[in-house]
Amino acid sequence: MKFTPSETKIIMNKIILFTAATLLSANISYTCWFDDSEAHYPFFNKESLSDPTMLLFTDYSAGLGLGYSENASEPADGNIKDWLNHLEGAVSDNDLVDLIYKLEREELAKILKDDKLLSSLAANNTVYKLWTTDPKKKKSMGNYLLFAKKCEVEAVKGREYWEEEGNDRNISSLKKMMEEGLTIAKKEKVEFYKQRYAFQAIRAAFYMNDNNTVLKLFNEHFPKGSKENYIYFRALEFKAGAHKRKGDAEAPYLYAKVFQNCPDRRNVCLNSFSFTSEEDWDKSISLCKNNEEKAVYYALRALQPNSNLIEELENIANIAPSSPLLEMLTARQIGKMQEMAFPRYADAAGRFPLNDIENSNELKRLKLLMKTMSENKTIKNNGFWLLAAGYSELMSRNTEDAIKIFSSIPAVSEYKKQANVMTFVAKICAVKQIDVAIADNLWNEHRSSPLLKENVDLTEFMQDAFSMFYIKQGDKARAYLTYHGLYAMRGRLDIGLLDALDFYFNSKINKGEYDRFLIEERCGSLPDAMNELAELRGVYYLQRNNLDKAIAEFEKTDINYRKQSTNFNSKYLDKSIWYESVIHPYFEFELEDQSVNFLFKKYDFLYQDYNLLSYTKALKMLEEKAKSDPSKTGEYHYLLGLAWYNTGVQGWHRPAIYLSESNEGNYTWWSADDKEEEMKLYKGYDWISDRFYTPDIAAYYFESAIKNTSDKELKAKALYQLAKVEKTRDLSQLSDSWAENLTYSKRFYECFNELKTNLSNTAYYKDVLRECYDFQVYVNQ
Amino acid sequence: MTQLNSVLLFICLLFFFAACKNNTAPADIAFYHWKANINIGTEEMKYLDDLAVKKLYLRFFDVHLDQESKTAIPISQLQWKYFDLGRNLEIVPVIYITNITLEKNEYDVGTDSLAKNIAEKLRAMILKMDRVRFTVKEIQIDCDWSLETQAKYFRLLEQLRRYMPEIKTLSATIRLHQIKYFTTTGVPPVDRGVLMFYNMGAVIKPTEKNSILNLQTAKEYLENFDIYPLSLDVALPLFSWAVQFREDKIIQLINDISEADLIKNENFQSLGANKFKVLNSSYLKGIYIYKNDIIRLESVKSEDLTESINILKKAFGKKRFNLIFYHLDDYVVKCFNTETLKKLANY
Repeated sequence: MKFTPSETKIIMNKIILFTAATLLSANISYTCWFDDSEAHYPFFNKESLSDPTMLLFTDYSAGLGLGYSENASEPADGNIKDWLNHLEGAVSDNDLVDLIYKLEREELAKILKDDKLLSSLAANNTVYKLWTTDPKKKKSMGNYLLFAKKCEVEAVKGREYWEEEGNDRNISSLKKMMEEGLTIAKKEKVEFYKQRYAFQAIRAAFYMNDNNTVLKLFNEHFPKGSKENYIYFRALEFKAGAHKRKGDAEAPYLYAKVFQNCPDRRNVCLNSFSFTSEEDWDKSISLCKNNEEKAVYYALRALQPNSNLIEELENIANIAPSSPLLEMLTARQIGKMQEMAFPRYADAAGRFPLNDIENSNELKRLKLLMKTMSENKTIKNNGFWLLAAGYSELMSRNTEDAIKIFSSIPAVSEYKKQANVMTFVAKICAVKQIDVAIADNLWNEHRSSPLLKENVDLTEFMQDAFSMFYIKQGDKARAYLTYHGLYAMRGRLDIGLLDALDFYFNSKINKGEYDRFLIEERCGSLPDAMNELAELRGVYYLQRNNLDKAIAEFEKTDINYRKQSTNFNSKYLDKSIWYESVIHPYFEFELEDQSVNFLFKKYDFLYQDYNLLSYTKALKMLEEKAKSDPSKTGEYHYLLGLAWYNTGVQGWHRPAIYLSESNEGNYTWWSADDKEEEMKLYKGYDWISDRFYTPDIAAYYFESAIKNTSDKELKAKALYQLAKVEKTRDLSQLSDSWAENLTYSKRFYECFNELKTNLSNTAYYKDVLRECYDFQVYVNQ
Repeated sequence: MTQLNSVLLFICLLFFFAACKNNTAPADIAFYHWKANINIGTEEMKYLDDLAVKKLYLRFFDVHLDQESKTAIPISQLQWKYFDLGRNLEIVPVIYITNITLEKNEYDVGTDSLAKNIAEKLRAMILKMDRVRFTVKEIQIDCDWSLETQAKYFRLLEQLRRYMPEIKTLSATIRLHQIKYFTTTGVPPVDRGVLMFYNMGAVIKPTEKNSILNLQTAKEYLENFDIYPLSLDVALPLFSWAVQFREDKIIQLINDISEADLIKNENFQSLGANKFKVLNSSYLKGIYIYKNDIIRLESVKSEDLTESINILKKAFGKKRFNLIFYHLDDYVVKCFNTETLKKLANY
């Protein structure tokens, strides 16, 4: 469905961001409307503006309050500042805020009337303390605030969003307030209060929609030559509003004036500043008295959604290169570009800056402009412009020029620290191919400088950049270790990576400082790494029933590791792994309570404590026994089948071979052989959610047991267990506890059929019929 | 007896031809009105009369998520000044709800209170407009729900029906993919659906020729019309817009732009194939556009509409559908004569 104009704006904002993400293949979050520096590296620190009141606009967008950055500091309340000036610092701003904005009118009236009450409050309040010593001030302040609070009640009236009627402002009340304000203003001698009473009257007229009266009152009470103080601009804003309602060209001019001079009213003015034609624009801008005023026009246009910021920057730089607005807009422009140049979590193998930004026309223009600005020594705050110029070069991949510019910033400059950080970023960006020496140089420089080392973003950036190099260069081991410890691999063992890590740890390849960091940080020490890797490799082979290779790997671990490692000696590697049951237990207490038959009681060679090595050897032993004694093949293969089922997706012992970390485990399992861009796995891949599982191993042993036994009870057991295995083939069905009309493999039904048709006289058949709902349904259909 | 047989035969033939006539009766034509300020002048009224339009789908307000309070609020409310519709036209209030509003709403409490708010506001607005002669029997909800918001949206619809028992018909807009994949996307619990047969192209792609009516893309979605559980009408586009690009990235959509606005304008240079380059930064229909921006003009031609009908006829098979044109304004009255639209309805 087509959108209204305002809705189009909102939706287009999102389309733009979606476009950036899809067309530029980068993970960019909603950063055009507010600075989510979580999604990119914010090397250009916007807080370096010389006018901190402009900070809000480095990422604010006009219209519907979108993009208001929760992180940006709001300008100080100009009203409070004005009061503090008037009171010559005799009160604290907190007390003033409480008095003006929080205290109810009735409470204020009580305090003003009751001296005793006032005295008691004065001990903890600087305003009341002042009132006890200066009754004149108490009277004028108190009277004004009583009046203002009365006006405020009417001013803030308005409908809730969903209301169609009600709570509209009362015109006759507003009229009374206006008249009262004007009467008092006439008599009031203190200019500070005189203007404020007039302001309230103007405001009341505005809310009465009496535009002509607004203009008249403004001209009377704030005539030409009036001091352009805070209250003047607050009143001017209402004058602008009245002109806007009348469609006058003065409206944008006045809003621009308020924007320029009243920091806490800027976003209101921005939202009210609009044109629909060239004619309107020309008419309005012709009211500007000088280029500084015109610059505000361009800035306000630049702050509209969909503006071409660089063009407006150029417009301002051409006429008013010293305008303070240029810094804010430059910070805004750079902020926008660095989202593309330095995204976090970029799914790319390459080099920063990303997204082909060096070819952007916008960046080319910015670079040119920043060069001009930084070379103009008449412009204040040269450090800022040098920083911006250097950063533009950096984003353009001219790292040498960038470093040169950063180094030209004087050491005493407040921008030097940022420059030093950016110099380091430039050095990283200058790298085309990484090797041990380059990694070490950068790493050592980073480590030896507190400025660099303590910069969390920079550290992360460096690792991000390194990892992208390693991915591109096919260095799997280092690419992986940049982000992960060995433990993270458990969910998805990959032989290519395991081999790469093996080579990395074991070989005499050149390892530098950065490597030492990786190994220590991720693995503890090299011996620890090698032990853990051997375990992982062993489990990889064990999962695939390649027992000889598994044993060879496990035997590489040292004795202490085998004793101390909780995974090598997992509680799931228990003799209870050899059990048979009709219904599988999910939890330990079920294992104890249910009708589980522990087979180590029957086969005493199974009665032992296990670790990965001894367990694998036990499996091997059973294989060999099955081979050497054909009369027992069925029996031993049945045991093997049980072990594989019990360490499978439905078995309680599955964590023994890394299939789950808990019994409430993740059932999203699929083969590690799925084709993917292999190297991307090592960057940000979620290792936990994809695990290796195949039912074929357990199925093989049960099939063999069925084939190789003449014992009907054993056959019945093997058939039923095989059916259970077959049930695990479609894991998506298993995970959906509400699924109806489940269907299983053909073999599943064959097993049930054979059990029903040929083995119904066995004791096991009766157990199954009693305990298994699926089988009951099958038999009774 | 022979005479009786003749009479009976005659009566049967009469019914037969009447049935045949019903099967080929032209589809009803209706219009959407989507602007915030309602402005239906005499020209538009004449247009509606000529087309025998009985229904006007009037957008009453949108529901969007307020960024600061993170609550659902009504925006772009219809600004109603008294006007005389001249005759009994059925008004169908339409409420557009953004998907993100549903995303951020809680399933039960949030959705229920939103439904209540919508119902109460609608009722209050309708009451205010009561001076004009029109009836409200149906309301329509427009929302391009996603898999994530499906449950909330469907609940909202159910609750809305509960809060507005006076409404006889609740309808909802449906997109093409929501028919093709209806077993996944679900079917909203409403009485009727309106298939939005437009905006199926990739508007953000610089290489897209016309995102309003990309029939190639549309054809890929023409499945399951025969088994879709809701009765459907079809909304067809009559609008145009300009898609503004800067360095191959989409900037915004500009409504109500026609070729005439650009072709003899010294600020624009034609690049052929409905594209224009901005030569001088300037205002275009109240929007400031910049030098070197590219404008892609998209509009709908009668031939495209005819082809759309042909495609839809095949997809719908024996099922009939009425037409709702998006949307009523002076551009449409100028560019699409009533004969063209009547031909479309006579499919």
